[in-house]
Amino acid sequence: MPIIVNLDVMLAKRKMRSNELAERIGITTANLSILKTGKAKAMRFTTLEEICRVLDCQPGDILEFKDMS
Amino acid sequence: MQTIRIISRVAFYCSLLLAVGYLAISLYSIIAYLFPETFMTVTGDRFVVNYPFSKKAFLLGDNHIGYKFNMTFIIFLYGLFFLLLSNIFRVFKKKTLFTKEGVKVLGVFAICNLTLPIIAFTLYSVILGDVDSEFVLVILHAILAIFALFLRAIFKEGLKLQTAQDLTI
Repeated sequence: MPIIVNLDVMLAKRKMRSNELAERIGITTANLSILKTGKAKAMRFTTLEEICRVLDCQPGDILEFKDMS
Repeated sequence: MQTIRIISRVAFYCSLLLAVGYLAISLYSIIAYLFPETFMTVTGDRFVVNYPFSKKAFLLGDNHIGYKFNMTFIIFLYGLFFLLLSNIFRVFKKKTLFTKEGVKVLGVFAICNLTLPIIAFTLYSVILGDVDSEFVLVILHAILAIFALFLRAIFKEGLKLQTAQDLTI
């Protein structure tokens, strides 16, 4: 998929662990893992909003478009 | 959806009970053919399979190997039909409707309803010749198979959408 989720990078920048983020945004660690590994098919605006709020960043810091064609 | 689940639960147990009944009857008739002196009464060209360990008539028919084979085979097939039907109801009584198992079960039901009645009808016509009323059953089962195929297509699409929904974080 050409949409890359850079959650690992942001987590490293904020020195935050995955399970802490999952707990603070109210999703399971399993779902956060699906998101981190790029297996997710879609992302709710509310989830994105929570991630941005907790990590103090913009949606563009989390999601990136890479043209694979 | 709750109503469907309740109906499916009832239908599941009813069809399973019928399946067990039909399969048991087919098994019992085979045992009766193997041990005729214990389970059967033959008078002229007619046979009577009695209830186990009694002289009360249970199954009646022509004392002809082809007839006996066909009768047992058709009873067995109806046992199989109700077993496959119970599998479908089992899928509908589950909390998650669209599953891989559902798609598989509907596929098997459709294939069996398309092929097995034709096989049974062919055997029946070859062995006994008289086939007028039996052809209606082949048509009815084919219609059921077509409905099952449509339902399978809906389940396949539903499964795809559900997978996407499950992977929406």
